[in-house]
Amino acid sequence: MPVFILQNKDKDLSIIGLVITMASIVMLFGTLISSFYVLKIRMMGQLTLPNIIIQLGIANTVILLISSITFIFSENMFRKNKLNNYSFWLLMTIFGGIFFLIGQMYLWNKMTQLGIGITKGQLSDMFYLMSGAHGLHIIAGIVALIWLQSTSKKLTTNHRVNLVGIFWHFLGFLWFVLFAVILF
Amino acid sequence: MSGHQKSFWTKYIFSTDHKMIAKQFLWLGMFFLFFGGALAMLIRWQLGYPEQPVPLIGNWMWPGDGGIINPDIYNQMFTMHGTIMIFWAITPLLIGAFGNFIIPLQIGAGDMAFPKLNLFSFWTMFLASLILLSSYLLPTGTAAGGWTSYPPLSSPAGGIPGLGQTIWTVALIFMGVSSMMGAINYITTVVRMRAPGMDYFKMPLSVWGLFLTSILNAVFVPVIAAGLVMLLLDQTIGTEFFLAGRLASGDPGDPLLFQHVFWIFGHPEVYILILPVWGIISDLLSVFSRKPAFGYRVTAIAMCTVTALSTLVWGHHMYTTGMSPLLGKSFMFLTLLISIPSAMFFLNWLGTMWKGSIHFTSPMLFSIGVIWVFGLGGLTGLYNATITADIYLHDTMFVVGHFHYTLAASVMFGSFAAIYFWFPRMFGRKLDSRLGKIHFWGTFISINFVFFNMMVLGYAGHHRRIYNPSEYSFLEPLTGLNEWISIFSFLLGVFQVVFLINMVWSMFKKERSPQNPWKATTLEWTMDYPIPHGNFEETPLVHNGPHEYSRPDIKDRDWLGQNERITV
Ligand SMILES: [Cu+2]
Repeated sequence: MPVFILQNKDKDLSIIGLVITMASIVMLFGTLISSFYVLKIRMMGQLTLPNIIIQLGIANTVILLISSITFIFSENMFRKNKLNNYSFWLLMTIFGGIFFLIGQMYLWNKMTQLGIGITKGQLSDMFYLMSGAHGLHIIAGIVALIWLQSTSKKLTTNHRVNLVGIFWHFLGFLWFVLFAVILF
Repeated sequence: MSGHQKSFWTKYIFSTDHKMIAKQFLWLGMFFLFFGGALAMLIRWQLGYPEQPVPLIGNWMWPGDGGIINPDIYNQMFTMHGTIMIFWAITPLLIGAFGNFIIPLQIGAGDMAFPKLNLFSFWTMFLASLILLSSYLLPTGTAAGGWTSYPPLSSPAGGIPGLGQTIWTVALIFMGVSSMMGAINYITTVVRMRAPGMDYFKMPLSVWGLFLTSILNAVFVPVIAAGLVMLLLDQTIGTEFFLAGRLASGDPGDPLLFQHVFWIFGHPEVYILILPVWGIISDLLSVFSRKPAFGYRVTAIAMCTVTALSTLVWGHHMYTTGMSPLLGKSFMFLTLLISIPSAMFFLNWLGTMWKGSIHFTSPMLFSIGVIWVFGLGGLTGLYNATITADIYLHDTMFVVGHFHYTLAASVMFGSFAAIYFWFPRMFGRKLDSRLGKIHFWGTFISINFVFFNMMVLGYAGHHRRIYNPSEYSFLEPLTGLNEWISIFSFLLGVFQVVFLINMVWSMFKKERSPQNPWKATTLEWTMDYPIPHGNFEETPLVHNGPHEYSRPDIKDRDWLGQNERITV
């Protein structure tokens, strides 16, 4: 019988894989952020967003922040082996993610209504691109959360919960950075 | 795990076994290598015999033009030649096939860290290939903006009409995703799945090369992905990130931004392609000189240094874009700095061979070939890296000759060395060595003639992308040389057919190769053919470095496996 030296259930394997993935995502968004600044310097302009858009953006940021906090609750519950509470807070996190996406879509809508639609300017287009690319990653994050929710009965250790958590907090932080770049 | 029967589909098509995925990448890469090679010969036909009908296939391919390659088709050809050779031939051959095949075997692992991700990586690549090839069905043809696809040339507002360029962008994004999945797998495997005793400084240099390549892939492929997504939006929904001046409708975008993004990725990309070759031939020179690799640690560290430096030099592709002289000089300085670590492992290769008992087998011939062609390619790089020389040489055939020496010649020779060397492990048979010698000498002579004289052409002022050199009076004295280059490039193609025949014939011949035909020390030679799913009967324990050849304390043979203890 051949021996598999390490199975891919090995925690460290997944952690390293996740770290490399996140490094790649940082490079992806790093390029977009740099491009944003290059275009901004190039046109010697500013992206001036109406107040309502900024407020909506802040509201969405808060939703994402709350979803990170609910995830921490759910992780604590998992550690204390209170599986029902764990599932509840996890569900709240999933809802948080979905609300964030809906909020972003509403924000895009509002922007278009206010005359800053897609192809109306370089910097606002960069905003669409960055928030859109981030949204796609959030969808991936939600899929991971749902996968966690659906397999939670079978979990024996908390490292899968940890991994998804790291990714989810990372996406939240990423949005925070992107939003700050847009605003300042 | 290996006990239960596998169906045809799970064994050959949707396999998660790294060795099968390696073979899939090998065939994909070989297909595109010949495809890209055919394109190269058509390009050479046009340059050697401008606007004459292509013999044999011309009337069948382009009946409307009387068998002549028209300028539009010519642009499509060199674009697809570059794209295919870099992303669809070299990448799957070296990184996809040999990365997959030798990393787990040489570090003593049962498989890749994430076998399913590996499966997805291949099929994403396959999908990308289909997308790319689908552009041949378009009435407006394939992409034609060069492999660099600079906007505005690559955007419909100011350049190539039709969908070809868009499909090119999409295909490249998928290809990038595939590369990234591979990189995540390779890095994790090397970091976490080395057998007990396999320290970083006991890894074969092939693994070092592939490991560094994967790091560059993981970090820099996302950069080009971002650039390509922006380009794709420019091409489809009408953003203007890369459009400026007359072409832009509102705020100006910046075409130079694309060039920066492209080369921030593009320069590391050339090291992504060459690092595995450096690693592989460092090992092979040691095997066939029956001597430990000279300065093993220095080679490994020098390769790491080059990897780090390669991230800081992209501007040397853009000296003529009017960048600040101070910035240009910084890029020049950093680029020239790379020659120091490169010279170190270059001298180490010579040191490995010095006073060795050299066995001139096919893989060894190709490894020595790499030393020659990479030496020439590297040295001519210094001219391109120097601003004053580059302003004259930029976009001439000199550059084409240079990067074909470093990329095409070095990487092809490295791939051939790897195929001749590991063929017995992949298919259980040795490639025929007489055909191998014919293949080597034919390739070596013709490839040198072609690429050396391209540099001569460039020095004489031949621009790299002109369609018909006979239209320029100052290029008239070069007509004969152009013709000879074309003749030798056709010869080069003919000798690759010898290789293909050798591969197919050897694969089906009866005579099996011995388990360790080259008497190599690394772990991939320790098991019988076919290597089972899971590779090792039991986890190997590693006691020695990868190059224990001709140890004076062993009497009966001249090598000691990495997993063996000395028995005196
Ligand atoms: Cu470069």
